[in-house]
Amino acid sequence: MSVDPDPILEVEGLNKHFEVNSGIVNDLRTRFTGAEKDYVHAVDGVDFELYPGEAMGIAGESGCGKTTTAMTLAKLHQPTSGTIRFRGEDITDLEGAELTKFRQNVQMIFQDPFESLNPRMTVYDTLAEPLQIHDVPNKRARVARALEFAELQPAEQYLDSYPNELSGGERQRIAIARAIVLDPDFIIADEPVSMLDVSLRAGVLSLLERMTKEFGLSIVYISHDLSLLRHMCDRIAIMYMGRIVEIGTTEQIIDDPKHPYTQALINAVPVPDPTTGRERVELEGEVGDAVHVPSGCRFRNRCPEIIPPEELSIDQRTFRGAMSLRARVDRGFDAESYWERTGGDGRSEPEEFTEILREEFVLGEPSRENREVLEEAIDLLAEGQTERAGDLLRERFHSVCERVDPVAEERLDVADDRRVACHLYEPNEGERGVDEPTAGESAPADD
Amino acid sequence: MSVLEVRDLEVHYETDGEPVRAVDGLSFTIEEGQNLGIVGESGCGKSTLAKAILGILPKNGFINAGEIRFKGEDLTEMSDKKRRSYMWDEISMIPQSAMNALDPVYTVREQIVESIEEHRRGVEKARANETVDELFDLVGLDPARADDYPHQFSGGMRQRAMIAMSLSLDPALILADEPTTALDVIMQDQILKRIGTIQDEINSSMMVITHDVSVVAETCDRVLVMYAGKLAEIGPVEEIFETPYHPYTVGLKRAFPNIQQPDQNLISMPGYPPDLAPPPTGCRFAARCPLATETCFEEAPPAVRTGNLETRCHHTDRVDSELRPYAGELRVWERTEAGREVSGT
Ligand SMILES: Nc1ncnc2c1ncn2[C@@H]1O[C@H](COP(=O)(O)OP(=O)(O)O)[C@@H](O)[C@H]1O
Ligand code: SF4
Ligand code: SF4
Ligand SMILES: [Mg+2]
Repeated sequence: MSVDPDPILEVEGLNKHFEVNSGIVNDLRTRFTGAEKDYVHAVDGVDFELYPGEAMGIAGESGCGKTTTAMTLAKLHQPTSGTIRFRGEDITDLEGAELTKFRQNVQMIFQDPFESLNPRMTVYDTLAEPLQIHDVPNKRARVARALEFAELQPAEQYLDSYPNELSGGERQRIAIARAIVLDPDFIIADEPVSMLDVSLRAGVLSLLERMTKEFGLSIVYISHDLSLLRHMCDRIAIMYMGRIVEIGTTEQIIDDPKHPYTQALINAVPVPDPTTGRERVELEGEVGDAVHVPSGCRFRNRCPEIIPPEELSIDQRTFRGAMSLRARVDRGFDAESYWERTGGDGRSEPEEFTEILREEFVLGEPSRENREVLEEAIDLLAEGQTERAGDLLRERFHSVCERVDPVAEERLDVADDRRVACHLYEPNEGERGVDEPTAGESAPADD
Repeated sequence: MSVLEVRDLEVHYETDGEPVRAVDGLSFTIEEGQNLGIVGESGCGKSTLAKAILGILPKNGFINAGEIRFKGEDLTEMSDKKRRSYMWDEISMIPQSAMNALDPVYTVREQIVESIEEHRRGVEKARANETVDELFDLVGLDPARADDYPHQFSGGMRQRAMIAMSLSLDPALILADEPTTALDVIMQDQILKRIGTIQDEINSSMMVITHDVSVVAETCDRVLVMYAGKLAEIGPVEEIFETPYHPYTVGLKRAFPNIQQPDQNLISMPGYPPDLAPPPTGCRFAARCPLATETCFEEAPPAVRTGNLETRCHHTDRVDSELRPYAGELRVWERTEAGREVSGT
C-alpha cells in the first residue's frame, strides 16, 4: 500500500440526490398539497481520499449508494453538492473540453460486460473509440497491446469479433482492455466479477490486480462481496444509506470492525469451510428507503447496540425491543394488521392483541418498571390511543442515537487511521461537528 | 428408503447438429432429511438435472436413459399427469429469482392458500390461513405482511415468501436453484439460517443447486461436484472441503476468496469446460488438470473410494503428494494443456 502523502482523489461532503419519481401519484401530491418533493439521498455526505497505487473497496447492501458514488466520481453523474479534487484540482464542475480531458484519466468497468459493450461494435472499434475521442495516435498498436495485456491472445483474432461472439469472461477482459487503453490514473470497477462464472472470476481478478500493480493505478472496487474486497483492497469503506459509516485498512475493517453495522455485515459473510462456525448478528428488518432518512444515526432502527439514556437501567435486548415498538408507533401504528392476527372478529380479542405485541416487543429481561411502561403502552395501543402510547414510550425510551448524527471521524478510543460514525466511541475533541442536546429533550419523530 | 435415487441418468438436448449431452450418466441418492448440494460452473448440467427431476425440460430436452426414483417410484416411467401431481405434492422448487415467481395481482396469502386448497382438497380455509401464518413465522416474516402484494416486498422478503410457499404442501423434497445468488449478504445470511431452521423442524430433504461453495458449506450435509455433465466427486461436506480427491474440486476450492483466510492465493484454472456436443473421450477435465496423463485423455475415469468420498479420477492416489501441497500456486494450474494454450506456448 502506498503512503504517498498526496492523494490522487479527495472527496468532500459529496451528495447526490435524485428526485423521487414515483409517477402520477407523487406528482399530484406535490401539485395539490404543495408538499415538498421527495428525494432519494443516494449519496449523502461522503468523504474519503484515494492515494496513488491504492486499491480501495466500497461495500454495503444494495441501494446504499455504492454505484451512485462510483458514477459521481467518474463524473457520469453531476454531484448535487460537495467537491471532488483530482490531483489537487477541483473537478466538481468541469465541463466541455476539460471534462473530456479528465475522463481520459478515469475509467469505469461495469458489472455486466454484455451491457457495457456496444453489440454493434467490433472489439477493435470498441477499444479504438476512446483513442479516437482523445485523439491518441498509434491506435492499432495500442489496441493490440491492451488486448495482449488482458490475455486476449493472439490479439488479431479478437479485433473483428463482436461481443456476442465472446464468452462472459472474454467480454469482461475486453472491458478491462478498454479501461486501460488510455492509460488512466484511476479505475472504478463496479462489481467487476459478480456476473461471471466461478471459474472465470479468479482469472479476471488476478488480471485486475496485475493491472493496478503494473501501471501503478489506483482503483476503487465497488462490491457487496466482502471476501472479494478483503482479497483485493488496501482499505475498505462501509456505506449505509448514503453515508460512509466506517473506513479503515482492510485488516481493521475485516478483523476488528467497530461500527455495529460493519460487524453485522462481516458476520453475515458465508465461509467456504463447513468446519469453521461464525458468530451471527441478526439484524432487524432491512435498510429503509433513503427518502425519509431517520434523524441521528441512520442505522438506529436496526442497530442491536442502540444506546439507552444514561439514567435508565436496562439490558440491551429490552431496549432494542422498546425502541422498535417506538419506531412502529412513531411511523403510524398499523393496528389493523395486529387485530387481524388475533384471529378474532374485529376487535373482539384484545388479550390476544396485547399478547402478540408483548411477544414481539417486550424482549430481554426487563426490570419491573420497564416492563410496566411497555405493557401500559401496549394496552393503550389496544385501546386505540396511539398518540398517548407514543408519548409514554418516548418519555422513557429514547437515545442519543436518534438525536445526534454521528460523524465519521477518528475516535479517541479506536486505534488511529480509521474513521467510525457511531456514538459508542469517544468523539475526537476539537473535530466534533455537533453538540449533544440535554438528556430528556423530546426526540424528533422518524420522518 | 432414499427419498430420491438417480441412476445412470442421461439428459440430452436436440440441436441442429449433434445433440448436447448435458447430463451424462449421473448417479446419486438423497436420504430422508438430508441436504445435498450440487456445485459446478454454469453449463455443467446443474439446472438440466433439476429440470429433469421436476419434469420440466424444454421441448428439445429429453431423458435418454436412466432412472429417477422418487420414494422408490421411477418418475421417468410415470404418465405426465401423475407426474405433475407428484411434482406439486411431493417435490417443490425454490426458484432462482423470486421476482417473477409470484403473481403480482394476488396477495401473497391468497397465492399460498390457493396452492394449499388446490393440492390438499378438503382443507378448511381457516386451517390454510393458519398454515400461512406458521410458515411466515418459520421463514422470519411478519405474518401480518402476508396480506401484502408481492410488489410491497423487498427482494429478500419475496425470496422468503417463496420459501414459505415451497414448504406449504409439506414436500418430501425441495429443490433450490441458486436460492440466494440474487441477494445481499445480510439477507443471504438470514435465508441460509432459515434453511437451517427448516431443516431442523421439518424432515424435508433438500437439493441445493449453486455455484457458490460457501452456500453449500453452510447448508448441506453432502455435496456432489459436477463437471461437464458428469459427477466428479460426491461425499460428506466436511470431506469435500477438507480433503477432496478430485483435482477439479481441489481447484474449485481455491477459486473462492475466504474472508477468514486473506492470504490464500486465488487460483483460476485456465481453460473452459469442453463442448458437450459431443463431449471429448476420456476424462472431461483432462485439458485443465495438472495431473492428467495420456490415460486420462483416452479412458473414462473409474469411481474410486477414499474415506466416504467417491471420486471419478484415474489418479486420486497422486493428489495427496503431487497436487494438494501445491494447489495454491498458479503455475501448477498453468502446466496443463489449457494453461499452455492460454500462455501461447
Ligand atoms: N434448451 C437448450 N438447448 C440446447 N442446449 C441447452 C439447453 N439448455 C441448456 N443447454 C446446454 O446444456 C448444458 C448444461 O446446461 P445447464 O443445465 O443449464 O447447466 P447449469 O445449470 O449447470 O449452468 C450446457 O452445455 C448448455 O449450453
Ligand atoms: S450511533 Fe447508535 S444506533 Fe448508530 S451505530 Fe452507533 S450505537 Fe448503533
Ligand atoms: S482422471 Fe486424470 S485428468 Fe481427470 S481429473 Fe483425474 S487426473 Fe485429472
Ligand atoms: Mg443454472
